[in-house]
Amino acid sequence: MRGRFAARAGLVVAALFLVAVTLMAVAPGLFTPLDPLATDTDRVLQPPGWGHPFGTDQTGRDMFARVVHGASYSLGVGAGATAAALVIGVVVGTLVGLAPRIVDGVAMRGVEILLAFPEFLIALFAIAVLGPGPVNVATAVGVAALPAYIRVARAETLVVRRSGYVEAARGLGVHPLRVAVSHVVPNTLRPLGVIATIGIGTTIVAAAGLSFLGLGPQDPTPEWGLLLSGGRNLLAQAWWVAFFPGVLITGTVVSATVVGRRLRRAGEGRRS
Amino acid sequence: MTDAHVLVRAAGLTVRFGSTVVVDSVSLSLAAGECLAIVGESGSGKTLTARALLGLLPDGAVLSADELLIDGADVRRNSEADWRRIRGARVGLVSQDALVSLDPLRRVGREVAEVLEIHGDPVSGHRMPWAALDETVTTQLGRVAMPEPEERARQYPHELSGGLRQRALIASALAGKPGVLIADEPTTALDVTVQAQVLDLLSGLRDDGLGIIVISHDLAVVAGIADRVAVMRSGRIVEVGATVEVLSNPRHPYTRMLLAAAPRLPDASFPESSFPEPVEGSRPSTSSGGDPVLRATGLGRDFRRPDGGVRSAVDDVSFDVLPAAAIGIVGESGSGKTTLARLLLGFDAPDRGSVTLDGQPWSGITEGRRRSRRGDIQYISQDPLGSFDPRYTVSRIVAEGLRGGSRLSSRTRAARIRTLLDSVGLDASLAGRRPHELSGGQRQRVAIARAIASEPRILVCDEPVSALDVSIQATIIDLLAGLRRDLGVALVFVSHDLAVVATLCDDVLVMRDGRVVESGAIGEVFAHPRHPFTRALVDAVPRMP
Amino acid sequence: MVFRRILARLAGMLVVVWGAATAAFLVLKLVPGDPVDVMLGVSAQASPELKQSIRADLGLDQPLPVQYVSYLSRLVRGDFGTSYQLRLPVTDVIGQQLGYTLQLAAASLALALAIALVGAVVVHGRAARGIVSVLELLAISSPPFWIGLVLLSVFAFGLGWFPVAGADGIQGLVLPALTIALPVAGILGQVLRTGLEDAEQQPFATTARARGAGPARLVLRHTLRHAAIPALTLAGYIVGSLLGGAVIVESVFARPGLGRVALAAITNRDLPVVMGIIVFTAIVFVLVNLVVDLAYRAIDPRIAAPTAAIRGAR
Repeated sequence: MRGRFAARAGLVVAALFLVAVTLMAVAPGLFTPLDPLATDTDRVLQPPGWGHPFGTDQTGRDMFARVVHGASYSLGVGAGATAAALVIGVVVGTLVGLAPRIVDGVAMRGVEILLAFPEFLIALFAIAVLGPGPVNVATAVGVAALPAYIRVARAETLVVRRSGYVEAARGLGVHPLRVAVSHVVPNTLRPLGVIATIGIGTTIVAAAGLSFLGLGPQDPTPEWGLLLSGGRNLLAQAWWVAFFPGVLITGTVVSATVVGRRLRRAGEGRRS
Repeated sequence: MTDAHVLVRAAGLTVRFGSTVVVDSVSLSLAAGECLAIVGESGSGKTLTARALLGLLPDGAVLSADELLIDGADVRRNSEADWRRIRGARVGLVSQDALVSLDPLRRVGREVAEVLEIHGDPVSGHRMPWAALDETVTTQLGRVAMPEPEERARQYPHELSGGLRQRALIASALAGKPGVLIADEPTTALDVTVQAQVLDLLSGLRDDGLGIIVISHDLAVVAGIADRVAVMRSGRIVEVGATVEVLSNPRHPYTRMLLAAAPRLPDASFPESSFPEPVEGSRPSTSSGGDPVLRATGLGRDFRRPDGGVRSAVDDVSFDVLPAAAIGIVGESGSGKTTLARLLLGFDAPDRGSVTLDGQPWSGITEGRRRSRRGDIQYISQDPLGSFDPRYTVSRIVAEGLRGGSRLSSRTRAARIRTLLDSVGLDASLAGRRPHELSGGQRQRVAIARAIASEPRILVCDEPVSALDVSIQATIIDLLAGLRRDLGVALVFVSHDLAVVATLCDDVLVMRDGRVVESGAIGEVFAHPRHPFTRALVDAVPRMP
Repeated sequence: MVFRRILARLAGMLVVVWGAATAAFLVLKLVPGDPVDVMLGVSAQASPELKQSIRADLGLDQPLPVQYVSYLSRLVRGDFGTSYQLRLPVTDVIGQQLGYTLQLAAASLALALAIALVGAVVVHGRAARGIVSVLELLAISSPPFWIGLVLLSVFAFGLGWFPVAGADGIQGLVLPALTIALPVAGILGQVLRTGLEDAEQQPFATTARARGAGPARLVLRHTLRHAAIPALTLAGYIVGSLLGGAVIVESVFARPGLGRVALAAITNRDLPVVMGIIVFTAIVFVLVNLVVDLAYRAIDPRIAAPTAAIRGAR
């Protein structure tokens, strides 16, 4: 009983957190009137307190404003790259799932190899090819997320294709195109939506990681990964510079995972 | 019966989940050399009752009892450690499917030995040395009539046949020499001939002095082995008594209903005239019903084995189905029944032979040409839930079966769906439900409604009632018989259960290893089987005394 | 039969490495920019004639198929080319740094395994398991670079228990290894725990308990082996995490190692080194895959011909 209450409370907090971060990305002005780029030499490395809830950095920029304004890049990359990967993944995965065995075998062998690596490593290789830069970071994490969607879309297509209800529809004389539209596609999309929700989190971490390594946007852009790497050299004097951007990243990822898992459980409940 | 022989005695045994009572004041006793059967349908609480005797209730279950003695000791206040000393040493458990009830990653011998590793030597209680352990395992496997016990001990469960696996499981339950054996549906997963062997084995163990509690959904299965029967329903024992007494003179209405619902095989010792008319108004398929609806000629289908060889799943099968006829196809698992059904339905293409539907070719043509005629031949599967799109409502599921469904006006369509639901005995209020919100019986009714929506000439049913409780089974069989009578639809009924086939069909094909070994009228084949396999099959069917 | 399977296996491994090498070659040929410019540096003022002669030296003026064949034949001989930046053979560059990264990876793996096993096997009771699963979620979701910074600020700057940077001895290894190990332990712990819980629900677990088996025997003799199967599936992913984690951790903790080399090569577009690292990673992956397949066979007797199902999980 208590466990269920805790889970529900966790879900609500996660959902609220996602809403808040989305608002930060869309309308940062709602959260802070301060300019994330405005330096103030009188207020350098202020610890968190009134006026500067997250403190200030070595040039006196307000960390709260920088974190709030950083949401748009991280979330934009997370949502954008995930959406693109999802769409491409569904198209490719469904086609592969419906293709002859040999095409399927070759394609999946390749996808399996890519899947053996964490997204971050693939994104790193992609940056090696594309070169550093904010747009390339988005492309790289999208490419890195792609294999997972292809695999799930294909697997779901195969499951649905071999399911009792597709056979039943065939037995009723329903046209294959109609079977695809009314049974196969809707039933494949549901699990994909779930992994995409969780995938947004993974993508945000990967993108922030590349920025952290200096491969993405450059200072003074307020990007979460970049803020963290700026804080690395200040750890001895000012822990808060590196701390709060990390809290935001972790919070976003945890929230996306919690919401995604909840969706998955709901989906499983309906299926069984 | 003196108290000294009583192994288990329980009174007022109650199991609760929160405020829900799932086992309600059950009292029972078991003596050495006795077999008590607990019979009930799913959800009757029979399994939980048995688990309570092992202290193995699931999380959240609370046990209370006025009296609970095992080997004369009160076990009501037992700690988990106390129970562990009882399990395996005083009470053994055998459950349904040995493929999953034996650890699939461990060798059979290790599983048998485990009980000895835990409890030590059954006589002295001392730790057993390795050599003695191996020897005891071999002895135990020999005791359950396992051929080549030393070799079997080194094999993994998946390498043994279903019957041998079940023997190994029994051996592992008995290795600690417990006085009581709890057998939970011990033969349900087995073919009927193997089932008879396992029941014989249990019977012999009982004669050697073992006390057995056998749990089953099937009165007929326990009739041959149990000394006493307890019938459970909704957590209560509604009737208990000597087996012969309960079966021949049931007092409780529920017992009577169970007995009436149980399909029976006609008794061979009676002259043929005494055959119960299977279903009122049905005609034998050999009657002059006109041209056959479905004709199979020399059908064959091969599968490639992993080692590269070829196995014929179906070989040289020919038969006719006349309008409104009912043909049963019986056989054990792996006999090719399901493959044959798929060939008839045009789901798979035969490697040899052909199928015609209404005199027109049905096999060997393109799916596109078959599609418009699919309404004439419909399919009912064992797993209705899997055959429904989980997102669809009942009315949408049934609507998919209507011919030209998209062209009907929504009002006509709704009216047709209502009529169809009504004709399968479903309330119109269920039309908005989704498949997972229905009971097993309701699901099968929805599947039937969808199948008859296109007004087919023939229904192919693959084990349509195997997953259902006996009482539900009977109502579905009645429904199919009624549809045959009212709509004149022919039935091809695939089943492992001879009794069910005998209730519903006029003719039968007996299949073994892909071939038809015997065919003919039900009464003739089951009363005077000519082929030895048919005879073995008929003899193995458990019978009520 | 067995011999043929081993041959097929080896052929499959070679195909994967060849595929990775080819992909690396093709993609890097498509990259815009002149490698000679990269070699000489942006600021260098070299005459076109000089560039042309360097190009001829490197075989870059040959047609693509010729370049590809000579590239492959050099690979087979173990020649990965020369770093543009460091002017050293790529094999030497990788070889010099490999030791540091291997040390880090091994320590991380051991830590991750230990943490995951404690979380999954030792922790009992509903409430404790709930807390562990929340911790696992946090570990998986936190970016490794942030974990590293938090560990640094608490244990190095705050408490002063461990050095802030460098690769000296065990002391210098603890925080970097922990940084990589935490997310890996999170995933591994989750998979192990789910596997154990699933196995506990299986009928064979009931049978074992009905024989009188206690919780310790149940886990050690029965359920842990079952839980190890899905955990093995993660092996490739975990090795990838160790390598990817090394890139970040070596940067956060200013440690030498393969990750630093990779990062420098990527930032400076030192293509031969990038290619070398891609091919090296493919070889590591293939070897891990082989070990995993053998381990599957050892654990699960039901597997006749295992598929190399190695995939990321979350």
